[in-house]
Amino acid sequence: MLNANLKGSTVKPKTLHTSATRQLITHFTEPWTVSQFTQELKEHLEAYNDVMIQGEIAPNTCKMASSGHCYFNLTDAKALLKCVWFQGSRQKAKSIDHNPHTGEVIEPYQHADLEDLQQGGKFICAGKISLYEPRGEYQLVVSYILQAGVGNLAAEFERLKKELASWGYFAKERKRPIPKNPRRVALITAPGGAAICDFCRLAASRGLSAKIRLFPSLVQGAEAVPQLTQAIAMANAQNWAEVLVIIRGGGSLEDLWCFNDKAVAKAIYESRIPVLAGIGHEIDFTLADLTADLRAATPTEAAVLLWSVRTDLAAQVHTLHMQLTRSMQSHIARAEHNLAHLEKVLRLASPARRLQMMQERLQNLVQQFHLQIRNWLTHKGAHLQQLEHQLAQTVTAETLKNKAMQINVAQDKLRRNVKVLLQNKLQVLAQGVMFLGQRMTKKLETETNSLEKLLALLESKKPTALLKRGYAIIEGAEGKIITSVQQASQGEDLKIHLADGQIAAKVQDIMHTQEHAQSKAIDEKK
Amino acid sequence: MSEQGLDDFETKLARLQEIVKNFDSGNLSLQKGMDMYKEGVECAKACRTMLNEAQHQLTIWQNEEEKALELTQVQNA
Repeated sequence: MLNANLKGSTVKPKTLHTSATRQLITHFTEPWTVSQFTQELKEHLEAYNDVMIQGEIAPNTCKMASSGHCYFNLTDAKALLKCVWFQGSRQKAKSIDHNPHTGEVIEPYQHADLEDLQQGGKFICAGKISLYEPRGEYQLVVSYILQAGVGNLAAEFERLKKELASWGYFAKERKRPIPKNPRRVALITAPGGAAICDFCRLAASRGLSAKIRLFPSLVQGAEAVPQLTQAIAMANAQNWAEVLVIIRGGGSLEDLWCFNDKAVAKAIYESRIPVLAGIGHEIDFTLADLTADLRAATPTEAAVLLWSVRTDLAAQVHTLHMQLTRSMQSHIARAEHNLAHLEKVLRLASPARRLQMMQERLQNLVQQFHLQIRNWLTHKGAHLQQLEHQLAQTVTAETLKNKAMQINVAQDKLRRNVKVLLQNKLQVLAQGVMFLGQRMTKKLETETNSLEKLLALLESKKPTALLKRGYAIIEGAEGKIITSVQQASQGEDLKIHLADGQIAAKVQDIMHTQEHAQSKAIDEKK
Repeated sequence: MSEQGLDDFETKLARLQEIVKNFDSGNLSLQKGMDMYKEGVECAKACRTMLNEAQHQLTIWQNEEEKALELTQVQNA
């Protein structure tokens, strides 16, 4: 481990000028030109090409040129040494891991960087002396810079670390989760430090509205420890915050030493509020960091760990909104699809559609019918053509002549047959007529006889015939035929019809038959 | 934004997530879907408004009292 007292490692120039040489310069009789003298000095000074010089750098005195080179003054109580740290050297500085003269190991945390220089403090600068002739200035061209006194503090840090670890301060089991996007944050840092600016600048674009309550405290020096512990205690006493954030910008081990104090570590350990510590830079580890529930590499990272980027939250809302819109569109599309399907089903089931379907079916059948008819006609046409073709091939003039002859023969034969048939039929007809005449004559005779008998019978039944046999018909005065004595009256004129004429008579007396008289008497009694 | 407002953001964001999840389940009637969509859009709008208006409030606790603090004051402290 590199010792804090590095005087022993300072390397003297390899070629020191002797007193004789100095005397030569001093007593030179001819005057030097400025260039000559400066050149002479340059040779002497630049012989200090590998030295380590310890001094202090005042805070915020480092000047950065646009070229990336850094200029600062290294001082002590009585003197000042201008220094330049070229960009190239600065970039290589931290790769130097041992003192080339003593062989001592240089830990990474011992190296100082630009921010350390800006913080100010005691440093050990390694490099070579250079004289810049145009301005007559000499300066130390730095190759690397170490923080003075780090060696002892580093050892102390390790000792304290072991001690606190043995007390369980760093146990993972006791680490509590830090609330995400907290709304009440207790912040412990120096109001004038760069840390709070970095923290607030980054926080401004993150999370939702949160209330950050600053508990001001020194973050460097002997007074920092009681203020830090008091601030932690105050935040816990209020019990208002969701999270306690302790931040500080980068600095040397000495600068950050207050955060390695056991009292501060104890206050963090005992805090009821989860603690997030962002102290120093990535390479700076303090006991406060190790004791805290969560360590942020820098103050800005503390803000990162606390709050989500606001644009990420906005993007999350946007994504959800887009998902919602897509889902709604799909939802409506599904409903439209279902509706269209139902409408289609309804249309298919409607009377109009059924009618249309039946019409279509009818039309199809008609078309099929027409098609089949056409096919049939086509088929028959083809068959006819085939037959015609066959006929044309088989029916010749000779065959026609033969057929005509056959027809003529048949006609002659037909005529003969018809004639014979006709004669036979006529003969049969004549026989029939003759038979019918005979029958009719016989029938007529029979009927005539019967009629004559009937006429004779009828004649015999005529009243005149009865009259001839002695009967008469009596006609009353009024022309009525008298059939009963009761129809006649006393003195009435009668006409008596006989076979050969009439007799006029007058009723003189009316005499009833005996049976008639008896029956009339009975009727009168009744 | 008030603390209630922050709660509202988280509540509304959770509600928006729930609505999107419900849509994914696909068991919503058309009317219910329309209602939930409307509610979801309102949640998203409210969340955006809260994000746009979000601003941290910085205070300092000194001498047993809390005072408002601007970042410029901090830088100049």
